[in-house]
Amino acid sequence: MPVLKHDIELPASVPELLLEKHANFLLSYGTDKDEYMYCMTEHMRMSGMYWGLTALDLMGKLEQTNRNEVLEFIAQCQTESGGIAASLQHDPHILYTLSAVQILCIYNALDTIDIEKVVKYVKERQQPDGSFTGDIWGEVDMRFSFCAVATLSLLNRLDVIDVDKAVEFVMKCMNFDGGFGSKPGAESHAGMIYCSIGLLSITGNLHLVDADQLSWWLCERQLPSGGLNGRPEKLPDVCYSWWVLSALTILGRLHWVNKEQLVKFVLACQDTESGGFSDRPGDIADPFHTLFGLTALSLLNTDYPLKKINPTYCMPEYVIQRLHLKPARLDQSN
Amino acid sequence: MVIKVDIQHNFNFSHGRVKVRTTAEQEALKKKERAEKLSRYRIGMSIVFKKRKDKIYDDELMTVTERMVLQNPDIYTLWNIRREAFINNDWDEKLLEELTENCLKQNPKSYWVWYQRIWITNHLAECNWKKELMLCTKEFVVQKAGISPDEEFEFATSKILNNFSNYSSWHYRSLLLSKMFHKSDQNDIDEKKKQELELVMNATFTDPNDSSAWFYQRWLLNTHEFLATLSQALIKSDNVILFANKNISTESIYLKVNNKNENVQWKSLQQTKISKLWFGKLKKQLNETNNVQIEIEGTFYPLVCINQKWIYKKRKYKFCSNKDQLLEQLSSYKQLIEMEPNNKWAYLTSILLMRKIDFIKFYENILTNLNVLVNIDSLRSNYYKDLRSKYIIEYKIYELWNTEEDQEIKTEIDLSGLNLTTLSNNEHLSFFEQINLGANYLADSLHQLFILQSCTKLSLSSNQVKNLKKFPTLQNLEVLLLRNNKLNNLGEILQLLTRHKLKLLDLRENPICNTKELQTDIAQISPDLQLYIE
Repeated sequence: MPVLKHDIELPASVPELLLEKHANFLLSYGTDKDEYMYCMTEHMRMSGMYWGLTALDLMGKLEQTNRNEVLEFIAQCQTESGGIAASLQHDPHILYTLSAVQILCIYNALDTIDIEKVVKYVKERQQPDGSFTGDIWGEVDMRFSFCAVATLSLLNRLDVIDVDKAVEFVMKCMNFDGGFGSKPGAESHAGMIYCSIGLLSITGNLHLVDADQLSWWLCERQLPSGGLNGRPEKLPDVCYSWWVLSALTILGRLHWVNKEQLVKFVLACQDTESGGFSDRPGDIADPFHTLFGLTALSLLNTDYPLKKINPTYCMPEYVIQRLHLKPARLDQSN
Repeated sequence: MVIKVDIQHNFNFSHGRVKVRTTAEQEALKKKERAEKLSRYRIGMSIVFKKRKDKIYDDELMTVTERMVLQNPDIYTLWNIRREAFINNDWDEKLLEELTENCLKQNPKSYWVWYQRIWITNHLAECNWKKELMLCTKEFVVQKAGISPDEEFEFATSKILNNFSNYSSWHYRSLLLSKMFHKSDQNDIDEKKKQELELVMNATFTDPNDSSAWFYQRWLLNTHEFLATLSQALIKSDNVILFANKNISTESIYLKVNNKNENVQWKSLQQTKISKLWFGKLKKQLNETNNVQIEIEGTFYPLVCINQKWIYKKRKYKFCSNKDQLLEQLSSYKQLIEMEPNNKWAYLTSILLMRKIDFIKFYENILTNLNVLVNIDSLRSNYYKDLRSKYIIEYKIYELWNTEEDQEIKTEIDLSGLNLTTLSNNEHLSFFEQINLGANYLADSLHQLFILQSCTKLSLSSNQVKNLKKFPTLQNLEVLLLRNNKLNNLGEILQLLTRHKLKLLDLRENPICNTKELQTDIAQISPDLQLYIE
């Protein structure tokens, strides 16, 4: 038998899905504003809120969240530039601008912020080669391309950027294995593949991808433990259950991974005491992995009482339908 | 016993932090430590924000921010403030100290730190680029350092020889090779590929359970075609169908009638600007005496006229230039399979080699190998089943070609009873008018029927079809056989009928046949339909 260097062994018993505990884990997050972990993650607050609220919405607990407090906070985080910061006094960035817009779409409250200014901020991020910078300091990355295109499409304002150029940049990041890296020449990575495929899905350009080749690479991410890694010869992690599965779903090849084994891995990553999911069994749970554990279960069409997640936007499907958005997927004919 | 978590910074990168149990005493200590840390964090942040507001970019600001980013490099705003300080103070010499190595060592995955490093190097007149190269092999550094492709290739080779399991090195090698391919002629490419195939085979034998090299090998075994060529074309009355080996735009397709460009309205299946497959409408029908050609990217393809149809067909499999080498490799992998009967990579590579050497000759062996893979790599059994379907369809089409006269395109194909799980978007299928897909497993692949654009008669009998929600609209469809499936939704069938002008529909042996309103409701929509239900 081959010896596996880069995998883990699942615990003997795998818990059932503990929805109540996960909801409490997320709802209690931030109730104590002086709690250590909460304070120390201030620099990513906006995304943290998006992870938690999306997960809670999937579990049908959105009403139990403090809508007004969240909206007020987001309004305060929009800066003069139009971009939105992770938190008060921090700087605007396209990562947190998307998170904020996603939250506002879920709450159906886009009028909370100055949309025209957001549009202007995102538009200003586009570079002559079609790529996007994260903020005024000039870092270019595939994540920012996705954030820009996703943000503008949620606001129905894709017309303000050069979409063809944005797509051209994505295609420059395609590698020998059919995957995508963070910039031209960078190695393929499941997270970047999600961003690229998401962008191509929003802009209707999935035909540019060799879906068989890329999907094979993606399904090869599944390890004997059932979990998925993000690159060859790396350890499995719950968050890749999202990055890999969402891309496979968009490419119409979700059935290339083994669902039962993956569900087992995801369930094994629950914290049965505090609630929440961690990257791997026995590690510390957090909102980031909790969202991606739940979204994976949602995509896998399990019988659990979870709302459907949209694979392109990582937002509840009903929200995407309410916005009349139809990101392309290869498992639909037209 | 209370469980507490060991918290470092930021949960975005909280990968691999093990939850540990602690005693009450440790617990109290930790709580105290944390309270102190938190208070230091808050004081630090308020100093920084205050100074920024007052535009005081002094040494204290640099010291405080440095201490804080060492604690947590992901507080991105602090890096921004440090950059503001550099710009405001014109500190060239201080830039050098900012090379962020300590931060990288603590957190090599932090994007923010990497970018600070790039930003600084961009602002430095001189930089030790060779040293940078030791830290990372990013293309950025190579560009800046002006290192030649040959030097780079050597560097990549040495990396691979050191450690075959380094996926990054294979990736890097593919970049360099692709660049070389673009500049070389076909002979040079073939020669280079031969060498690479040897190298990569050695790697796979060195550690057969490491996946890295196998991915690179599969890429090498792909055909790398740079030129677009026409595969098949058909003109019938005012309709044109054609497909090429790769995506092309309509701007590079010309239909020439008696050497004059004909006006054609082109459409791709998904309304995309580029596509392999194109459907065209002519303004007027062609005349039998016409000389008809298709030009794609400068190459002309003559069409022949038979019975008022014009056709072009390419009916040959590609010749492979290194057959001997591939046969030798195939036998090596056979030996590997004998030593390691569960090594899926050896089976898969054997399939790819056989496909490349002689697909038709090795067809049965390829299917046997795929069936082994379905069992020994059960996590991906559906992938292998789909791959099997793809190969089976290709083979069946090839078989059909062999029965074809020179001046003929077969319009009927029987693909029934072949365990097909997918249609795999084979463009040849767009040319067939009568297609039998009965007794397969295509229930979840109905959306793929969209490619059957010429189809008038289609059988999907015995496919365990439960619903028709994803059944596409096929303009020419007249006869649809859905016998022996699991259809039970009348609404879906009515909806399908409104989208098609069907003459015959066979619904026998479906649960829906027990529905009372079935006949009357259908008659309302399609009064002339020939309906089989019992």
